[in-house]
This record gives sequence, structure tokens and C-alpha cells, in this order.
Amino acid sequence: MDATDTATGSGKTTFSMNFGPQHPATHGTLHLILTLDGEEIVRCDPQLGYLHTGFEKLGEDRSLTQFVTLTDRLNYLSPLNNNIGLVHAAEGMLGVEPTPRCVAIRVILAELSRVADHAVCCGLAGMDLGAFSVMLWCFEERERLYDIFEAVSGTRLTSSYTRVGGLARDVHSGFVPQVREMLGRLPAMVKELQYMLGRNRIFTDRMHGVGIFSAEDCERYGVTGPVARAAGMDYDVRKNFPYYGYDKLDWDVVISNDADAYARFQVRLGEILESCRIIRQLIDALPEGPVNVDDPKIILPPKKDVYTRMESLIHHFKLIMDGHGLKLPAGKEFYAATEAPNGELGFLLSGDGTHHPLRIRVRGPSFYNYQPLNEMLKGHVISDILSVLATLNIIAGELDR
Amino acid sequence: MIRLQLTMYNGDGDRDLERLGAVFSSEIIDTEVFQGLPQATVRPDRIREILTHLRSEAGGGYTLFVDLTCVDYLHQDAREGRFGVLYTLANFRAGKRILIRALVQEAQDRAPEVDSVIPVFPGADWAEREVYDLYGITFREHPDLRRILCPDDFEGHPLRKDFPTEGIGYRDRFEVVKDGKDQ
Repeated sequence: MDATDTATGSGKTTFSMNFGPQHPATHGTLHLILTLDGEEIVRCDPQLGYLHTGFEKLGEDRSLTQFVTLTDRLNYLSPLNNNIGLVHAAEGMLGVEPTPRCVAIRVILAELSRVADHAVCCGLAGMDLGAFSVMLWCFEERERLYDIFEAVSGTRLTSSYTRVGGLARDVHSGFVPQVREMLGRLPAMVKELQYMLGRNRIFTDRMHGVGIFSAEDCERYGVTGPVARAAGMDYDVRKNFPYYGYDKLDWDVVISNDADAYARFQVRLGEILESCRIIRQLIDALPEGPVNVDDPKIILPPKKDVYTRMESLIHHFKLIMDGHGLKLPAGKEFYAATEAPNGELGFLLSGDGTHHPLRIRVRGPSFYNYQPLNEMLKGHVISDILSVLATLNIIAGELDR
Repeated sequence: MIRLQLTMYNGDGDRDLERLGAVFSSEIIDTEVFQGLPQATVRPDRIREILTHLRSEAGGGYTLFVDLTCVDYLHQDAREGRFGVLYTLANFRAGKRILIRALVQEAQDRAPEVDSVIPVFPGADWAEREVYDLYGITFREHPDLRRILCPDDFEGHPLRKDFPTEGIGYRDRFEVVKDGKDQ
């Protein structure tokens, strides 16, 4: 730790201290420069960029399909939500409507991925505040969820499962029973979390009344997701800008009015149960039919046909070879967002008539949720940083891109 | 079976565009609704007033600050400015979004400039720092305009179209740390 005394005009003697980037509670590489008066935080200046990877620059040299693999690395706790967010924006810009089966599978996987993200977030919040075993219990359930993702996409973490106009492949035959079994386990996990953390005096005392940020401020600062909903801001992209038929399903937006760290924890737990409700409605009536749109100009033909049929070979060539592929309209810009576990995940696409986007902007929720940290922490003490950071769930991959 | 379908934008965003055009007729270059998303291309001088208007009830009630970013139109068709600073706002209660594109021209001897919109939306703070960092656009009256993602001593602005994707060898300049016995 680096501490230097500096005298400020207010007569108080303050000093500055580094928090991170290698602090175990920063989960990744978050770095705060704190100005402290004793243990009280006077100012907190987050330093970004330790995980700056240049995704947006790389995206300008890649086709949209190639960029799907990069979205895995944005919020690495819920890669499927990022995959879906990208193709949702691209389909909106190109005017492609995915098939009912594809949409249903995407919704189920997005909700399972949201559950995995929330579970890990709540478990890690417990770990940061001293309840280590809760984290392990959450990771156990996440492992089961990752088994589903692995069976579907082939990988546990870097799923790259979506394509513009469809999915990489259809789900396997054991998918529905596997998800059903998972649905049976999740309410028990939430109950366990409530018992172990929600009734834990150490945990609740350190969460209540910490990191308060009002709904009006959330709006002006662009704060979204569970953080905003915990403050009473009635905003969920799935309800307010309905996509994939979320508005036709029966579920509720989880809202709290306390606006503190504990409220965010409770909102996340509530959302796990709501996600289960959404999945339950879809899993029993998973539509039959193809997962990809019936348009060879958008979706690659089956590999078997590429080797045996001239037409399919041409379509394959026209999508894969450099200079061909999906072309975004020149001089146009389009923005569309989905509800990722931490809030509004938007993609802004700009086209120049080639198969590479002119500009691809990732509006990650972490970037905007992290910004008011100084306001949230002012007047608190150092140990409160852990409660606030844990419930904001800032993911450095998405923050620094 | 529940019938699912893709729905994107609805609402009366096009009427908000008309009203915007009526109030700021000298500022608007172009308006359009692309795939349901209302967009306006404007001159940058009165951007703060434009956003204040959109935030107000009369302008459409776009109170949620969604995003601020930039596009470099180098090598594209001629426009009034090389850079387009993009402001995305939303009125989530009415389910509508709007995209404002302020065209900023590059001057010969100094960096392109545009007013900071922090007085209207404080959430623009980091986003403006990011655009300053990656595109080299200066935001007038920004209280704390520093680089945010790149290191402070970085030269150049990586997201500009004339910046090579493979980099400029910044890392090659790092000092090589030898093991203890060499020192």
C-alpha cells in the first residue's frame, strides 16, 4: 500500500491509498485510488483499462460471426447473454427475424446464464464478507449450469453459440430433461442463500444502508439492471423494450426501494426465481422446427451439402470468403439492447456496405454501473467498499473491453 | 404454445424527431427512422440544448442516458464532419429510444471539439473521457478530461481509422526486467 500525506484546504489531513488492482476482493483488475480521512472515504477515483483489449477496434476488422467469439470475453460470467445481445442488434439492423424455436432456446439459455451470473455474484458477495462456504455452494450450482452450456455449445465458458439468423446448432435431445432437473434445484439454492446470507448478522449489518444510489440518479447516470431496480427504478429491457416475446410471458420485474447493497442482493435472488418462471413456461412447449432462418444468404448451409451440392458450396463461399458475407448497410447506424444480468447490454453497429462493421460499440452495463462509485462510497469506510463492489458485480472484461 | 416474435421499437419517436426539427431547424442536418430507431444528424454547437430539449417532457421525455460514443467517418462519403459523436437516449416508460449524431469537424491546428453534456447528463463523464482517449475529441468544460482506458503516456487515438489495428509498438518500448543477478 502506498500512503502519502497531503494537506487539503478543508483543514483535514487526508492521505491517498491504492485499493487493487491485485486485491482479492476486486475479482479481476479493478483499481481504486482512495483519498481517506482516517478510515473515511473522501474521494474514490477508479482507474480503468487494466483489461483493455481493444475489442471494438478488433471488431472493425472482423465479420459479425467472428465477433461473436469476442463477445464471450466481455462479461465472462454470462457469455451466452453477450452472444445473444450481439446477434439481436445485428438482426435488428439487417431485418432478420429468427425462428420460434431459435428464440425460445435463446431465451432459455439467456435466463440460465442470468441465473449462473446472479448465483456467482451472490456467492462471491458472501465470500467477500466472510462466508466462504456459500461461494462454494453457488459454484456447485453454476457448474451444473455450465454442464448444460457445455452440452449445448461444446464449451463451458466461451460458448460462441449464436449466429446471425440462428444458432450454431440445435440443442441435443437431452436438453429439456437436463434443464428441468436444473429448475428443480434452483429454488433450493435461493432458499439456502436466504438462510445462509439473508439471516446472517455479519452479512446483513455490512450490507444494509451501504452504497445508496437513488432512482433519479440511476437514470441520469445510465445505471441499469439489478442496481437500478434495487433503487426502485422500474426498468427492465425485457419489459420496457420487449424482444423475443418476453412481454407475452408471465413474469414480474423484481423491484426494491431501499437502494442499498442489501436490496441489490435481494433483487438478484428474486430474479433467479423469476428466470426459473420464464424457463418453466418455455421448456414445456419448446417449439419444433428449424433453429435457423431459411435463407442461405444469412446462414451457412449444412456441411454435408457443401461437399456434395454445387449451390451450397457457392452459398458457403459467399458467406465465408473475404469481401463476401453479411453486409451492413452503408452509412446507417443502429442500436439495440438486451437485458444482461447486470443491466442493459447494448450494441451499436455502424455499417459501411462491407462485411466488416465500420464501428461496433459495446455498451456494457458494468461501465455505467461503475461510474457513480465515488458518489456511492463517499462518507463510508474502507470495509464498505467490499459490500458495494460485490453487489455492483463489475466485470473487468466488459468494463475495459 | 406461446407464440414468440421479435419486436423492436415502437412509440412515437418520429413525432419527437419532427418536434426537434421544428425547435432546432438550423441545427438539424438530417433525420430518419432506420429499422424503427429514430435518428437525427445535427451540428454540434447547440448539442447541450438539444439534449436538454429531448430530456424535457415536451421533447419526448428521454430521461435515461444510455450511451455516448463516436464513429470515425474517414474514407466514407463526404459529410460535414469527420467524426460523428453519437448520443443514445431512452424514454423507457414509453419504450422508445433516440439516436443523435453530432458531426464534428477536424480543425487544421487543434483537436476537434464539442461541448461536454455532463451538465445535462452526469453519466456522460466517463463516456466522454473514453471518446477523448480513443478518438482525440476534446469535450469543452469537461471537469476531468483524462485518458481512461489507455495509459496516460500513450500517444495517438486507437479507434481512429488512421490508427493501425496491429498497434504502434507501444509495448515494444517496455523496459525488459532481467532477473535479480543482472542488476
